[in-house]
Order: sequence, then C-alpha cells, then structure tokens
Amino acid sequence: MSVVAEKNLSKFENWLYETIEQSPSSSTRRSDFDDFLKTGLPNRRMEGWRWTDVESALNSETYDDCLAEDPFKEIEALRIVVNGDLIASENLSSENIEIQAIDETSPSVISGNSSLVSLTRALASTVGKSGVLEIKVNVKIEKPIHLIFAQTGKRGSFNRVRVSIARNASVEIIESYVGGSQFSSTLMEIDIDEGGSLKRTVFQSASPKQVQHVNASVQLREGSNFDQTALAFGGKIARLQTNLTYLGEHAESRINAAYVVGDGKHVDFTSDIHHSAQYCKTDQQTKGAVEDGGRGVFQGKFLVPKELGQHTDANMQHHALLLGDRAEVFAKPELEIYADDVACAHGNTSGSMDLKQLFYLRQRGIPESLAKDILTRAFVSSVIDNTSLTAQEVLLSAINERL
Amino acid sequence: MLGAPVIEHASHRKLHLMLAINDLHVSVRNEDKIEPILKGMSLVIPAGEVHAVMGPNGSGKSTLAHVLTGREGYDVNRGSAKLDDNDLFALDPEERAAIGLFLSFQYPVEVPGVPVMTFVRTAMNAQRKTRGEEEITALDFLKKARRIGKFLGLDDVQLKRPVNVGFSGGEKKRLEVFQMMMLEPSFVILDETDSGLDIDALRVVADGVNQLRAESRGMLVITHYQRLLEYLKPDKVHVLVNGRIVTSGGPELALRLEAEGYDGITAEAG
Repeated sequence: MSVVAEKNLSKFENWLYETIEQSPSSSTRRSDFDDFLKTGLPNRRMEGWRWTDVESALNSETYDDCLAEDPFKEIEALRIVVNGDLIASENLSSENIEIQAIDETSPSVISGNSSLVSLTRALASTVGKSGVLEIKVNVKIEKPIHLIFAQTGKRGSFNRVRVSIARNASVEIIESYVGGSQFSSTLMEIDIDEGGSLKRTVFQSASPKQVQHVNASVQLREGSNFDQTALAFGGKIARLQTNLTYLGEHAESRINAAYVVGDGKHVDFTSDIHHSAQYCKTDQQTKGAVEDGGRGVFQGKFLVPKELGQHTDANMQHHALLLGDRAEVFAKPELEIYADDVACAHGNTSGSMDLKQLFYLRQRGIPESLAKDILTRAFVSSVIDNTSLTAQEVLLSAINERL
Repeated sequence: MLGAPVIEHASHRKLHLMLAINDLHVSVRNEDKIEPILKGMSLVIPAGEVHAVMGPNGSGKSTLAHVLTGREGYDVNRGSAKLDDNDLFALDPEERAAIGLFLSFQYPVEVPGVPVMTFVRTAMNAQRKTRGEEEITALDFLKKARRIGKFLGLDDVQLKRPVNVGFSGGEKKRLEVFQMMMLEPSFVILDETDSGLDIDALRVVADGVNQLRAESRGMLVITHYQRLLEYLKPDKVHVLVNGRIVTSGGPELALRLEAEGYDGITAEAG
C-alpha cells in the first residue's frame, strides 16, 4: 500500500487502514482500499460533497451506540438483520426467492465514483466470511423483505446487498437504517430485469454522533418499474444516494424522499439518474422540513444523452420548509440534457411556513405550535404516496410521531 | 330557508354578547411603508343583531376583519375592540377563536394534506380544550358533520378532501359556512362571502348563515354589494369610507347605495 506513505491519513482513515491490515483480505479488497485511499474520506473540497463533509464529521473521537426506533419492526415481512455478520431470522430461501451470502469477487453493478463505494467494497462484512448478501427474486412476491441495518458499538460497519429481480418478478424491500455505530456504509446493488418491479422503502434515523452512508445503484431494463420512497431523520451526517441507469426502453421510476431534520442533524439526498434508454420516465419528488440547527442537502441530477435519451419524460422537484432562523437547506438541481425531443422539468424552493395557512388554522382555534406541526406534517407527508399501503401507514405515523 | 333547524343552539352561551369597536386606528405595514387604513372607526353590534359594513374598495373593510381576528401585519395605533368583556387585541388569534370569534374568509386558504374532517375536528377540540370543555366524540362529530354537510350540499367525498384544495369558488364559500355551522361561534364576521358565488350558491350560503342567527349571536357582514343582504336582511347597515363609518341606517341604506353609488352617499355625509 504505497499510497499510504503519500497521504496524511486522518485518525479515522488510520483506523480503517489498521482494520484492513489486520484482516485476511483478498487482493480485490486491497485494491478497492487503494482506490479509496486515492482521495480518502469525502470532504468539502470535493465536488458532490461540498455540504456533506464526511471527513470532518468522523474526526471526532466520541460516538455512541444508540439505536433508533425501527418503525417497521412489527410489520409482517421476511426479516433479515444485516449487521456485518449476516444473521437471518429464519431459513429464508425458497424456489421463489434465493437469499444467500456470496463472495465479494463477483462483479459489481456499482458504477459510483465515490471513495466511500470503494471503501465499503473493501471492508464489507469483514467480520463474517462473505462480503455480499444476495437476494434473487424469481416471481412476484407478496410479503415484503425487511432489511435491518443495525450495528451497535462499532466504529465502522460496512454492508453490501445485491438484489436481482427476474423478468416480470416483483417484490417490496424495506430497509431500516437505525444506526448503532460511529460510521456505517451500505451499498445496495439493484438490477431489475425486463418487466420486473421493485418497491424500495428506506427509513433512516441516527444519533447526532453517528454518520451513515447508503448508496444504491439501480439498473432498470426494458419495461421495468422502480418505486422508491425514503424517509430520513438524519444523523451527524446521513447521506442517502441513488444512482439509477435506464438500460432498456419504457422503464419508469418514481423516486420520492422526505426528510425532517432537527438540531445537530444533517440529511443529504443525492441522486444521479442516467436516461440511457429511450421512452423512460422519471418522477422525483423530495420534500423536507428543517428545524433550527438542522441542515438539509438535495443534489439531484438528470443526464439525458443525445440519442439514447430521446423521448425521456423526467420531473425533479425539491421543496424545503425552513422552520427556524438557524435552519439550513442547500440544493443543487442539475439537468444535463443533450436530446431534443424530451420533456424535462424541475422545481426547487426553500422557504418559511406560509403565514396565510398558519393564520387560517389559528383563526379556527388551533394553537400556533399545533398548527405549525399540522402544516409541516402535511407538507412532508405529501411525498409518501408511492409505497405499499402498509409501508405508507408506518412512514406517516413515524412522521407524526417525530413532529 | 328550510324549516327544521340544523343547528341546535348551545344554551351555555352568555346573552347580550356584544362587539364594541371604539375609535380604532389601524395601519398596515407594506415592506418599509406604513399606511393608515382605519382612522377612528367606532361600531357597536349587540347580541342577536346582524350588521352590514359596506364600502368602496380600499375603504378598510378587509382590514377590519383581519385586525379583529388577529392576522399579522397590522398595527393597532389607537382605540379598542371588545367581544363581551374580552379585549380582543390582548388575545392570540386562536384565543379569539376559542371565545367564539369566527371569520369567514374572503379568500379561503388551501391546506394541502389536511382533510376537511380532520381539520374541523382538530379545530373544534382545540377550542373546547381552551375553554376547558370535553372533546367531542368521533360519532357525535360525524353525525353533526353529515347533517350540516347535507344541508349545504357537501358530500362525504368533498369532506374528505384536503381543505379547499381543488374546490371551486362556490365550494370554498360553502366550506366556510360548513366550518361556521360546525363550530357554532358566538360572533361571526363574514368577509365578502358573496364574492365569486352564483345565485344558487349564494342562496345555500345565505341559508346556512340564517340558520345561525340567534339571540345570543352577533354578526358582522362585510360586503361590497347589496345582493347578499337581500337574503341576510341585516338589522343595520354602516358605510365605511376612508377608514371611518360615515353613515349608518336600516336595510334601506343598502338599496340606496346600490342605486346612487358610494359617491353620492359620501358627499351627503360630508
């Protein structure tokens, strides 16, 4: 690892270095780690991380092992705890669905260029024998799969999950990221075959001393369908990234996200959607509410290439409510369009609560603080509409409880 | 008007309730400018009476509705407004609502994501809580909402929709009257309730308002035109010009205004 000598490692990077040195790592993992070391932990000097400085967030020696409440723990589901050791609650595989741990040397569908992707590949499940949890869905599955990412008391935990949806198969996957370690990073590698569909629901909540990173790389083939709904309450940093590529025509996705961020917390929704096939449709709706001392980040990008991107229909909306003078929202919507026969739109706003609405509620006798809560809930909840009814109910009541 | 009363009048309300506005001076803040709107307005409305305030555009009609109910952006520079023994300007908007002050908005506000039924029930229970009363049961609430909805021609589907979202102008005004009949306020201010209504909607809305007329309840009807007054038959009509009441009279004053316009009346009043 000659790279190490050339770079001043931060304390956390040093810890990561020692971790991989001490584990019996394959050459693939070591080369992934070398890739990571080329830039190290993302920081504000890097494009795409200006507002989300993971390096300085991990500089602190103090962290806690708090686990947030998982609102999905009661729902009926095929439940898997993914905590670096790969513990499944029951024997999950059947002829309709294959769930297993596989070797990390299998090729990855991850196309991201973030150093955290390389880092996570290098260290995924180092405690256990295998690096990747693989879920293959072969038919239409009614019962949702619930993945719980909860690792307590560690400085770092790293997971990789690969999901393949076969032709015309469909499933709902619910992911709960509830913290527990100083830094956790998860790669979701999702491939949806022709006519297949996936409903992906993400819940994230961590303490103000925990940093979380979730990177989903999604490939959509012809006529496939991807519905994503995420709700994030943040952490010291919570970065939820979605990279999506259309590989076949007439595929559709709806990518919705809601965030409620309080004092000392940070949520970052970043997405990069490549419309590399004709007649594909993307509808992206993000809404957030930020309280005093909280920070919300939205970075959305649509790339529509000249030939492949023709007949794209894409809409990107991000709207944020600032609930205090010390609330912060940073947004960077980007449309990069080279095709000429497309419908692409975007809208981005951030502002304080509508005083006319607030007065209307108060004139009817609703006290100011309750009126603000009602309006905030309604604002944020409006994007929770493309997941299963059960998941919708759970997310809406999580929002109500939070506000 | 329909025969059977839709509202069962609450008996606990105090009688002789009265709105008393005395020498009221109000200015509005527009960015850096301060503009005086009400310039020494006085008005007394006894319990059981309906008074209309008419006036040309810019005379201060809507300011009056807003300042009485506590909307932000207005400065009360002098004078007072009392409802019963309560100094309105010492109370928050929600406290004014809880003592029974209700404003039917000229432009009802859309509240996406909040269904009508949830909204009205939350408001009703919040008011009850402030007054130290029990919450209404879900069943009683539903029965009352159905009865009043039916009277106003609002169906279950409309009552489950988000407040005012996708409602036509007429539906919005009906919804204002629906809320008013549900909440049974002791004093009602109707701000341009007839604007944007066709003749049928106007009749429905007026029927609703008339249902609420009671010995214990006062009403202030702010309007530009006479036509709503044909249905509401006010006890008194006041003409507001340039921030002051320039003349008052019976319902015939409204007819004269319609015939002669504000200019004639204003000139006569000096």
